[in-house]
Amino acid sequence: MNLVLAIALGLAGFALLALGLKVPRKSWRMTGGAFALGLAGFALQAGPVLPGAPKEANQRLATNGAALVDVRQKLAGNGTMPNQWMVISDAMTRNGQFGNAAGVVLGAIEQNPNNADAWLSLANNLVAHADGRLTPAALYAYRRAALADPQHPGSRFFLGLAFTSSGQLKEGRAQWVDLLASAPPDAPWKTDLTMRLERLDAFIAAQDQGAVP
Amino acid sequence: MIASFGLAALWFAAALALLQLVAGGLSLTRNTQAVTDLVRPAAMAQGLMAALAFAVLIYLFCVTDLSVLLVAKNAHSATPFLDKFARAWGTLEGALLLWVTLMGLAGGFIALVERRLPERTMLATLAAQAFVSIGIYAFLLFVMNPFVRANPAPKEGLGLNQLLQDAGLAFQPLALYTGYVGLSVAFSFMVGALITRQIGPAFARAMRPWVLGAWIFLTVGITTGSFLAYHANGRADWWPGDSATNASVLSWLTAIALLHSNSALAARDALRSRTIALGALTFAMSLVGTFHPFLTWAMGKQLWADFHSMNAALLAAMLMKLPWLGIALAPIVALVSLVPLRGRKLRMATLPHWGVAIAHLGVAAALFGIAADRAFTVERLVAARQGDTVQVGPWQAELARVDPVAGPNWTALQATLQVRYDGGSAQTLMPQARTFWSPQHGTNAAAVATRWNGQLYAVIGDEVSEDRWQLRLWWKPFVTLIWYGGLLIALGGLLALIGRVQSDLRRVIAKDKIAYRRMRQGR
Repeated sequence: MNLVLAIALGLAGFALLALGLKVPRKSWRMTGGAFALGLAGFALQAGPVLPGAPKEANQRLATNGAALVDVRQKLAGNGTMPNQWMVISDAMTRNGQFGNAAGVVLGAIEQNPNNADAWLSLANNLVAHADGRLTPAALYAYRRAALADPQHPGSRFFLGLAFTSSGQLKEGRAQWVDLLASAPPDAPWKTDLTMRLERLDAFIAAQDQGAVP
Repeated sequence: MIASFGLAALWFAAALALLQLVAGGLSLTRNTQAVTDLVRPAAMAQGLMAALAFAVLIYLFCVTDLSVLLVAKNAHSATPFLDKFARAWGTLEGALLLWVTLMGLAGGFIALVERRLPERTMLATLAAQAFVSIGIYAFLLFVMNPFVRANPAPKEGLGLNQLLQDAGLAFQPLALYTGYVGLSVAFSFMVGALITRQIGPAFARAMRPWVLGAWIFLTVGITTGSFLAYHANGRADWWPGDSATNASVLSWLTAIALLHSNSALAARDALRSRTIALGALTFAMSLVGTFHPFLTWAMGKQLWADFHSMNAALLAAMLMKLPWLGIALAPIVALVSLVPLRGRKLRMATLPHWGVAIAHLGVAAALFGIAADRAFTVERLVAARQGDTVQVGPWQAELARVDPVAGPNWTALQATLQVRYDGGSAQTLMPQARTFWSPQHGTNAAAVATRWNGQLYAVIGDEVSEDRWQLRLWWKPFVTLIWYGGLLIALGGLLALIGRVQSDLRRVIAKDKIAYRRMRQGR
C-alpha cells in the first residue's frame, strides 16, 4: 500500500513537471529516471506497512473524580456548609475537569483563607490534574489545609494517598499511621483507613521481596 | 501510512535536487537546450516536494502520531495545539527538514522570477544550491530520518522541553532558519557567478536582496530570541548565551560586513575579492548556526564548550567594558545615523536612505539599552513572608499572597505582588514557579512591570522555610531599548530592501520598454 502511494506521488510529480512546468519531451527520460531513483530509495528504506497511531489528550482515566469528592465530603463530616464555589468546583471534579476545578475553588479560598475543605479540594484537584503526581503546588495546598484545621483528617489522608499514587509509599504510609494514631475511637473512617493501611503494608512487603517491580 | 507518504516525498525531493544538480552541471558543459530547460522546473518541483514532506511532519506532530519515533520521543498528547504544531521544527530532524524546505522553496522562487543575471550564471547558481541541499538530504535520509517508525507505538509520548511551550520561543527559530537559508542562497549566487566569471555589479544587485532579506530575518530572530528568553529564563538575562544564540550573532555580524561590501560592488564595482571572501565566511557561519548541535556531537562536547566559553568570555569582556563606553558611544552613533539624510530634503530622501538611517539609529538605541542595563541594574534576593515589602531601586514590592494554580499541563505556585514605583499607584504582578510532569521539569514564569524608563522583573523561587518564599527582583533601566533597537534595525533593513526591489523593478521595466520600442521600430 505504501509503495502504491509512493508511485502515485511520483506520477503526480512527473505530471507536474511534464505538463504543468513544461519540461521538454527530450528531458522526460532524465526526469523519469530521477523519480525512479527516488522510488527505489523509498522502497529500500520503507519498512513494513504500519498503521498510524494518532493520540488525543485523555481524560484523567486513572483518577475517579466522583470518588475524590465523596470521600472528601465524608471526612469533612456534616458540619461543613458548601458554598457556591465548592458546589461548582465539585461538579467539575466529578466530570474529570481537575484543572478548571482547581481554578474555581480558589474563589472559595479567597473568600475564606481558613477554609480547610477548600484547600483540600484544591490539593486533590492539583494532584489529579498532574496525573497523580504530588507537585510542590499540591503539597503546599495540603499543608495549608492542615494549618487551617489541624483536626481535619482529610489533609493527612489525601496527602498519604497522593504520596502512594506518586510512588512514595513509605511517606504515604507515615501519613496514614499518624492519622490512625490520632483518630478518635468512634471515627467512622477508621475501619476503611485500617484496611487501606493493611493493603499498603502487604504491597510494600511484596515490593521489598522483589515480587512486585 | 501518512508517515510513509512523507518519506516518499522526502526521497523524491532529494532525487529532484540531484536532477537539478546534474542538469545544471550538464547545461554548463554542453549547450543542450532540453537539459537547460529542465533546471528551473526541477528546482520548483523540488521545493514543492520538500514542502510536502514538511507538511506531513507537521501533521504527524499535530495529531501526535506515536507510530513515528520522532513524535513518540518529543511530543505528548496533553500539550496545547500550538505547541504541538511548533514541535515539528523543535527537534533536530525537523529543523533540518525545515532548512531544506526553505532552501527548496527559495530555489523555486529564484527559478520562477530571477531574470536579471545571464542564463548560464542562473543555471550555475541553481546547481550550486542543489549541491548544498543534497548534503542535507543525505543526512536526513540516512542519519537523522524524521519518518522512522516506532514498532510497537508507545502508549504516550515523552514530551519536549517545556520552555518551548512559549509561543514566541516556538516560532522564533523559523526566523533564524529563514535567515540562514537566505545566506545559503546568497552563497549559491556567489558560486554561480564565480563559475561563470560574472562577479560584478549585476551579480551584486541580484544577490543583495537575499543577503538583506536574510539579515532582516536574523535580526528579527535574534531580537525576539533575546526578548523571549529574557521573559522565560527567570534570570532577567537578555543574553541567553547558549550556542545557538552565539552562532546566530556570528552569522549576523558577518552578514553586515557582506552587505556593506556587496553594496560597494553593486555601486562602484569595487571590493570583489572581499565580497567573495565575506560571502564564503557568511555561509560558513550560517552552517555553524544551523548545525551547532551536530558540531557538539562531531567536535566533542568539551571542545565545543571551550569554543563557546571563549566566545562568551570575549563578549563578556566587551560588555564589562561596554557600560560607560556604550553610554558614551550611543549618542555618537545616533548622530552619525543621520548622515545619509544630510543635505537632502527629507521628502526627497529615498527609502534606502531612510532605511540606512533608521537601522543605524536602532544600533544606537540597542547599544544604549545594553550599556544602561549593565551599568544601572539593581538586584534584590530576599526570603519574604506574606505581607513583607521589599525595596528595589525606585520600586516597592509587597508579597500579598501565594496560591497554588493549574495550567494546561502544569501546576504552579503563584505569587501576588503589589508593586509601586516611587510610592505611586499599585500594580499587580504574578510570577509563577511551574512544575510540568511530562517530562518532569520546573520553570520560572517571570512577571514584568514595564515603564518608559525600564522594567521591574520579578521571580518567585522555592519556599525556604514555612511561609517564607525566595523572591528575586530586578530593576533594569532602559532594558527595553535593546529590543526596540533591534526592531528598528530590522525596520531599517526592510525599508532598504523595499527601496532596492522597487528601483530594480523600475530598471527592469524601463529596459523592457526600451527593448519593446526598439522592436516596434524594427531595430
